[in-house]
Amino acid sequence: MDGKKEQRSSTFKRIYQSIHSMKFGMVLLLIIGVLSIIGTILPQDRPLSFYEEEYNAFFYGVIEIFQLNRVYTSWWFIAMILILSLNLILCSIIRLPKLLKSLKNEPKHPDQKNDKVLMVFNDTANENPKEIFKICGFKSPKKLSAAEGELYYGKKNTIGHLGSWFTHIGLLIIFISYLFGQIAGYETFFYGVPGVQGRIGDTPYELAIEGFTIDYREDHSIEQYTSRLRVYHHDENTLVKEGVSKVNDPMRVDGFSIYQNGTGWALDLNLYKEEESLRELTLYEGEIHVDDDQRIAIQFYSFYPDYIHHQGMPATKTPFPENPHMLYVLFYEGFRVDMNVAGMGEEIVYGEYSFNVEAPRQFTYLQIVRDPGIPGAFAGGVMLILGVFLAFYIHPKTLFLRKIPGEMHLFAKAPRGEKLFHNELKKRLKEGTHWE
Amino acid sequence: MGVDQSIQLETTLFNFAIGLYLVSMVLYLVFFIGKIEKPGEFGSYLIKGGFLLHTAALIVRWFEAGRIPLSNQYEFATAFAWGIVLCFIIFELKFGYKAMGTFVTPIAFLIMGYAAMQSKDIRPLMPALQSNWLSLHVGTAVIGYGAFGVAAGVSLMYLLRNQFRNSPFVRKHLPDLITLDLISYRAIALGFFFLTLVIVTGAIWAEQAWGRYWAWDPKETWSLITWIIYAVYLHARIMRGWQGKKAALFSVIGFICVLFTYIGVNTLLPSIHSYALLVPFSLLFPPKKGYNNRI
Ligand code: HEM
Repeated sequence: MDGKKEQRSSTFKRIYQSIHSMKFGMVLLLIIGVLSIIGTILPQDRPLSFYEEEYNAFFYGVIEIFQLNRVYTSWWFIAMILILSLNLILCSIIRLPKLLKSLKNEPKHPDQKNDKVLMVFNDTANENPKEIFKICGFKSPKKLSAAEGELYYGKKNTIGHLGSWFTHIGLLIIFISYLFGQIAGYETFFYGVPGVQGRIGDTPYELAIEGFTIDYREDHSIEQYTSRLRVYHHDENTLVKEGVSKVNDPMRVDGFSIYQNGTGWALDLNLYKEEESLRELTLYEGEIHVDDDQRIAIQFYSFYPDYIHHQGMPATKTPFPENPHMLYVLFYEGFRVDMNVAGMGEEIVYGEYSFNVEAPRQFTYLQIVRDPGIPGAFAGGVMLILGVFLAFYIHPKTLFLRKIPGEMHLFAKAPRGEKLFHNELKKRLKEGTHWE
Repeated sequence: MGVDQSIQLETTLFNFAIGLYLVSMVLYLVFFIGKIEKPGEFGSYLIKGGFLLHTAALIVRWFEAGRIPLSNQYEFATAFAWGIVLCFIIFELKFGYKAMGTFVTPIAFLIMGYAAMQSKDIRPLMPALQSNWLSLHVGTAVIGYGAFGVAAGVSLMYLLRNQFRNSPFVRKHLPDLITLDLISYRAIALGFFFLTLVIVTGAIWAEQAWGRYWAWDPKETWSLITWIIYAVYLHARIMRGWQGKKAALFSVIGFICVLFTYIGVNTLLPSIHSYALLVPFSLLFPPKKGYNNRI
């Protein structure tokens, strides 16, 4: 009975130990890396029917079970990130006391057998330890409570010991902030021509598009897109902020950001039935307007601001509306009945219906995001960089000097690159002293 | 100076640089195989000369474009090679092993050759690319990738030295394993620090330009994979049973990932890093539901 209990507790201990081990962490990290490759090869976030058509039944089954259509939000991927976080948390907690000790406490004595003496000073009459430490780039030595003889030591760059710890904590903060942002954040889109005003998703805010401009360079390439915007509080009917959103320079309002994400053309559509006006509205490029109990539909297929007929295809000479034309598709009772280009104001007739379009202008397409994880992720990123810098460029170093009658022995320790440290010390001692 | 003239000047400087790199690569090879000291010394001079011309070529382009020249395949390829040569020169000065040149110069030369095959046209930047964060992002990548290039060369030396440990030739011409391990560790530490900066500055740029700091776009994901491989390398060095050969292997795999992130992702995988900001709008406005089915 007792034996079994012991066995069980030792199994637990073994599992616990491997969960916080570095080896386990590395294996997990590698698995995460290798499996995330799947998401870069297989198209992501398409409807399942897409995969059913593209791949054979077996592969489709695999995709469905393992959610390979959305690798980075699949249960197993998130589970692995969580296990890795646990691994990091445990190993960070376990290592901390030892780390703090190594910052505060006296270093371990150099041991006669394993630590090679870097230099022996024979003539000890005029040498004092302080001078030697200074030449080596250390502050005044402290005396170690040594068992034999006098032992002095000096520490440098001890803060470097914290480098990997900061790195790991920074990483954890990023993981947590990212998950928090995924859960607590939202994203929505808003588009319209100047003059349009509407509610932002289901937030208490309203957005008004005041203006939209596109700056062109001489070669007709685009320099910048600029939307002038106003944000109102819906219930209180107050202006919250007025500003602009440009590419690379979003407008920030009350914890969310408005990004300039795209553009396209919009037209005013006038639709008639038996010469009577049926509808007047703004039609956006790419949209289909369906009307009259789904009997008639007009699709704004594409737009040619400076229309020319080029090799049998519609095209545009410049991006400017010199000779604007739209390419439309007309549906009647669900069937495609017409597809053609039409100029502004041109009358298109089909049966009892007719329509025309006019007033071409560009609309702005805005992306609106609230991600409360950003400040945390940023802080984690800064910590990560700081940690990596400390780990690699602030090398902890310790110098020891043992005084025995007639001799002084110098030891130097640097866990991250002892050889380079020894070379540096030898050079300093050679240049800075008359000792051999 | 007109546009054509300065592109011509840049091309001339670039061609001389690539020529000097080629000669120094051959000299380093002669030094290593022929066991003669002199060519190694010349190689070391020539690569520095090539580096100066290469730097001049980049500066000419910088002036001509009116922006930091790090925005297309050609500009990044030539800067990438520049980064490798810079890191190599620093490491050669610091550690003083000429044999490193035999292994690192071919890597730099190949990437320079890749650059030579790309179009040198200077195009104005689309709005999403006009960002200081982006310049910092790509600028840090040049140094980081350069350091990884040096590390890959040194890790190859490690594997060679380890494989043929009894060959007197290898023993004479390659530094000992401990030194090689130290050099590649230092190069990877430099590269890892910069790759961390690359990822963080890239995330800041992505937040401003695309509305999210991390979206698992293939290029982002591959840079993360690269980062993971090097993190594993760093830990392998301090893990029981994983030091030495295994760690060196990770260093080589890491550099293959670097190359894939840079070249493979752009050419083989779909990515936002193809810089298409304005998606076709018919994708954003799919035909209305219900009606679609009747067509
Ligand atoms: C992507 C994930 C990780 C990154 C970027 C990272 C980064 C680092 C860095 C930069 C170092 C310093 C290495 C050196 O000085 O050569 C380090 C050390 C270390 N890491 Fe990680 N690490 C990661 C994950 C982990 C995990 C999962 C564990 C598991 C427990 C772990 C445990 C350790 C330990 C024990 C050290 C040694 C500390 C020392 O010697 O001071 N790390 N890590």
